[in-house]
Formats: sequence, C-alpha cells, structure tokens
Amino acid sequence: MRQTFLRTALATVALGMAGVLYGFPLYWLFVTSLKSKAELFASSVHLIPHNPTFAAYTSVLIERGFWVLLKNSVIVCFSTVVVTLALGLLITYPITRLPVPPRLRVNILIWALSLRFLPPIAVVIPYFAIVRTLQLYDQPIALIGIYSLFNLPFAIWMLKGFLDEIPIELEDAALVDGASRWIAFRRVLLPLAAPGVMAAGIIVFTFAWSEFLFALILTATPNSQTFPVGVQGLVTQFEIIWNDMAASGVIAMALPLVLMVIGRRYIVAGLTFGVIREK
Amino acid sequence: MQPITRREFVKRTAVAGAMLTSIPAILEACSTGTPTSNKPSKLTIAAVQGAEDGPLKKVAPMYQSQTGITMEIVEFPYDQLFEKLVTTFQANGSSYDLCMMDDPWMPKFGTMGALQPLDSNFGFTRDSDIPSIVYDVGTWPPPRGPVPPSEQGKTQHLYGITIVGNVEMFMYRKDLASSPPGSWDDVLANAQKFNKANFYGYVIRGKATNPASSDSLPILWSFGGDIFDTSWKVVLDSTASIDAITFLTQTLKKYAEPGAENTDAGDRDRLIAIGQAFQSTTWPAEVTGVVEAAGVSQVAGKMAYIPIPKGPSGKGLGMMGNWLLGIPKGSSNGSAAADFIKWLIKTENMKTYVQNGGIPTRTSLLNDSTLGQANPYFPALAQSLAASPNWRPRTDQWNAVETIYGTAVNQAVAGLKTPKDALTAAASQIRAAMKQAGYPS
Repeated sequence: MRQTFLRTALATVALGMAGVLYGFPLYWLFVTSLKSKAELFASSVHLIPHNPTFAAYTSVLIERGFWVLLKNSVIVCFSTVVVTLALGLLITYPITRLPVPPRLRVNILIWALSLRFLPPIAVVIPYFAIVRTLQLYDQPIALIGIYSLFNLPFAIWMLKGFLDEIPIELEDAALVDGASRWIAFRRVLLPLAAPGVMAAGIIVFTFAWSEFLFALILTATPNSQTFPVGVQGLVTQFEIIWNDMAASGVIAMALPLVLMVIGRRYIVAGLTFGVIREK
Repeated sequence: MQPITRREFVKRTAVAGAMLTSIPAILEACSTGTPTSNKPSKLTIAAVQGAEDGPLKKVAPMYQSQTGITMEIVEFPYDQLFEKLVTTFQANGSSYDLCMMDDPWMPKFGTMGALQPLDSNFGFTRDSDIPSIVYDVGTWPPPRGPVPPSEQGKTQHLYGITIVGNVEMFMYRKDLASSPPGSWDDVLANAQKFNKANFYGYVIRGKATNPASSDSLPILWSFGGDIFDTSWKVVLDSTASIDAITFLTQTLKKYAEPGAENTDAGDRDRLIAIGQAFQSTTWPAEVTGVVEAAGVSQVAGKMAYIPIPKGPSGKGLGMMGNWLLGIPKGSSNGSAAADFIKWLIKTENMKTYVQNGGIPTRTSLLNDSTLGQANPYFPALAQSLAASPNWRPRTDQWNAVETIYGTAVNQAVAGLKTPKDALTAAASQIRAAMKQAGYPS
C-alpha cells in the first residue's frame, strides 16, 4: 500500500516536472506576447506581465499586415493537404487493392521513400529555376507544388498502412452487389479509412505550416509569402522585436493546435490503426 | 453515381489535367501584370524591416491618398533584402518598382547594371540643401576614391537617393560625464572611470561579420588604418590597423560587457536603455527607436550624441550607412517610382517623414531646432555629414570582404586570436579574394 503510494507520488512529481519543462517555454512565449516594449526593457524580469496588452497581436496582424501572410499559409497548407491526399490515394489505392505486379509496387514504395530521404536544400536551385521559367515565382502554386511533392512519400506510406488494414472482402462485397469500383471506393473504403486519411492530412498540414526554406526562396511579396517568412523578419538590424515575435509564435501555434484538438480522436485512431491485427 | 467506362475515365482525367495545368496561366492573368498606362495602380517597394523603413510606411499612405497609387511595402530583414534584390536583379524581375539599398550595396548593384539612372532617365539634379556626399554615395562609378578596375571609364550616373541619412556616431551618458570625449584616449579614460559592477564602461558591438565590421571601422580609420589603400592594395595588416583593433579588442574590452563577441545593436541598446552602460558607437536608427524612446528607456534625455572621437591620426571619421531608394531596371513603372522619390524628398514631405521618426538628409531639417528637440542627435548628424564621413570601400566584392574582416574582428573580440593574427589572416584572405575578382591586390 505504502509502496503504491510512493510510486504514485514519484510518478506525479516526475510528470509534473516534465510538464513544467515542456510547458514553461510555451508559458513564457505567451507571457512575452502580452508585455509592452517598456516592460521588455525593464531591468528586472517579470513572470507575470504587470500591464498585459494585446498590442503585439494588433501590431503583428494589422499594422504589419501579417494577416495576409496568415491567409496565404492557410490557403497553401490546405491546398497541399488536398493535393497530397488526392495523389497519395491515387497511388496507394492500386498498389493495395489491384493486382499490381509486386515489383512495381516495391519500386513505387522505394521511390517514395527515396523522395523522403532527399534533403530539400538539394532541390532548391533546380526548383527555383523551374519556377522562374514557368513564371510561377512569387505565386502560391509554386509552394503548393513543392510541399505536395515533399509530403507525398509520407502520405503514401501512411495511407498504404491504413488501406492494407481494411479487408478487401468488404469492397468485393460491394462490387458483387453491383457497385462500381468508384462507388466501392467512395462509399466503402473511404469512410473506413477516414481516420487514417484525417490523421495523414493533419500531419501533412503541420509539416507544410512550419516550412520555411522554400517559402523564403520562392516568394517575394505578400502575394505569396507565408507566415514563417514574416516572423523571421522581426529580427531587424538594430532590434529584435520580442513581443511581436512572441505574438507571432502564439498565432503560428494556434491553428495546428486547434486542428490537433479537433482531430485528436482521428489522429490517435489513425496512428494506432491496425496495431492489434487479427490474422 | 453512374459507373464510368475506362475511355470516359481517361477523357475526364485529360480534361482535369488540362484544367490543372492551366491554373498558373489563369493565376498569371488574374495577377497585376504590366500596366499599359503611365500611372500604375500600385508601386511595390522592397524595404528593410526595422527603424529604417518605419517612417516610410507612415508617409506612404499620404502619397497614396494624393495620387491614388497604392503603395505596397514588402519588408525583409537586412541580409535577406540584399539576397532578394540580387536574385530579382539577376532575373531582371519586375517584382519591385523601388528598392531600399544600404549604401555598401551600391557597388554591387552598380556593377550589375541593375538600376535605372535617375539623372538621365528621370531628371534628378543635386539639391544644395542636401550634402553632396549624399549624392556621391548614390552615384556609380564612385565620384571619388578608388574605382574598381571593371568600372573605370564608365559614365557616372545617379542611381540612388538617400532617404535614411545614417552616419555612425558616438553616444555617452552626459549626466555622468562633465565633457564629451574628444579622442579615443578620452573614451578609454571614461570607460575606466565609470566602469563598475553591473555598469560597463564601454559597449562593443562585436557579433561576427557586419556588426563587428561596422563597430570597428570608424576606430580603424581614426587610428590611420584601413582595409585598402587608394590603389586597392590590402593594408589591413599594417601597424596602424593592428593598433586600432588591439585598442578595441584588448584595451577597451577590459571595460566592456561580458559576451561582447555576441553583442549586436539590439543588445547594446538594451544595456544603454536600462542604464547599465556608459558609452558606445551608435547609429541614428538606434536612438529614436530605443535609447531615447520615452516610456521604454531609462536614460532618455541623459545621453549626448557626438561625431566619432579623434584617434592618433588626428581625425575622427564617422561611417556612412545611408539607405537609398533606387528603381530596378526590371520595373516597368519607372516614371511613377521616380515621382514617388521626388515627392518624398521635397522639404515639406521630408519634414512629415522626420516627424514620423525618419532620419533626414536635408541640412535645413537637421538644423531645425523644433525637430532637433525630439531628435537630440540631429546636430551631431549634421556635423558628421558636413565633415564628409568615410564610406565603406566601393567594390562589388564588399560583402565578401566584410564577412572576412567582420569575422576576424569577432575572433579578436572573443579572444580566439590575437588582433595581429586575426588581421594578418584576414588580409591574406581578402588579397586572394580580390585577386580572383580581378583587382590588383
């Protein structure tokens, strides 16, 4: 009894410390975003802002016009998710459901894996040249293209895992009942794979959301610049605008966090899909 | 849903593919293309983010309301702006109608032929209220000093008009010192006198590359040292140069803040603003933004600003850091862009610009006592401009040279190398780089 109590107490303390370790930087980020410039330049450090203000948020979103960059980020990331999942399903469906030669299947999966291993910096210059030739420089579509390409391997491997777990007999039953392959895919397979598709979509979204290298190189104006490009501009030659940077950090975290909270059931279900498999 | 045949599937896929591939063309058509009229609907300015472009952002809407032309200001951090401009110029891109340029970038852009001449194309002439050095810094090839070999014999043109009249100056706590330091010996004496626990006698901006370079060049020059002589021969390892860097990184460093090798302007301003340091070099943009900012700085009104103190050479040489506005060659809105520059530098508009935190170049505004009350550094800036401050070597290789030199100074500040070793190694590297670029080093 006493041992159990001690174990519980130790676990609580350890978890509490881990919580502080992970939570404090986020707390500090949020608190800094609420401080005024005067408070940031105070001689002493305050754990709680003395005069909390949302001025940094107004400064970032309205005065600096970052709401346009935020809008670009949302458009680019959602488009990336749609394109990646569509292509991912187009590739994984045949290799998991149709009588594709095993060698072709393996080659496709290896190709996807090799894309995943490719360091993005290796393709920056050729991709920049292609984008310029196609006159897509400073257009969101240039970002959507490269983000989709780099996230495709992840989507293929994740979706393949999910589709493999769904018994093919369910689709066969639908086909026997007169459904077309498209109907069987849309009405039988897709609803069953929804948690996996959702999980893959959210993870692809977060990858695209935090991408910086291509966004920096392929954009020139707020026509296509994404939020991370704007944030790094807050380190100026003579000043680091800490409160605005913190507010940007909070804003940048907010959307993926909200998506994670909304889709957590799907993500957990998706990531644990097929862990216990009946054979 | 009706089942479809394979033929129908292929057909639909082809149509979808064609639609997808046409998206770029549709987007391009929908975007703001090259205007056919002389008056564009929008002018896009590539600007440096920070105190330098803040006032520009405030006055641009005035121009917009007067002309109906939307002013879009795209901001980048210092290093990135340079890279973005080089990339755009190489592609002869039309993304920007105007660009802000730090004055050491002019040789690179001038050599590249990236800008439209303001004098021959748009009728810009010199204004007697603006010091001639300000026009000289926007002229290429340079009207004085050594000219790069590849640029000799080319016709001079004005390519940039200064809108931020930055010159590096010196600041100190006037509430503590009875008189301004006239020389670097006085600076050292004050540093010794006022240095105590949690209060540093001097702040070194010693972060590698541009910060260390900017902080040390006025001292280098004031000691009679330099990077090049008048025939592009590298003299960074001369006795005068080594003495200057030894003074900064060893003698003065004894009274400087800890971690000076990582200190940039933001850190320096914070130390000054919270009352933990006595003196340092400074740029005008640092003064109004932090050091004299009411409600932010604890030393507002307690600082004095003077031109760079004299060194053993008998001279105190400030360094130019003007920000200019130029018109990229790729812009198809050159006339409208030139009109905006002319509008901005008119006395009455520049006054509004100054009232919004701008750093003027007009002598009449720098000597305006009303404006001077809100900008205590104006007299020092006027003096510095009148004394023809030094500019950084006018070579398109400056970025590479600055990286080598600024790294060497940083190593000396950090104590990783002796000043002599650091400068000797840097001089060899610069010689090699310049030789490769066709200079007679």
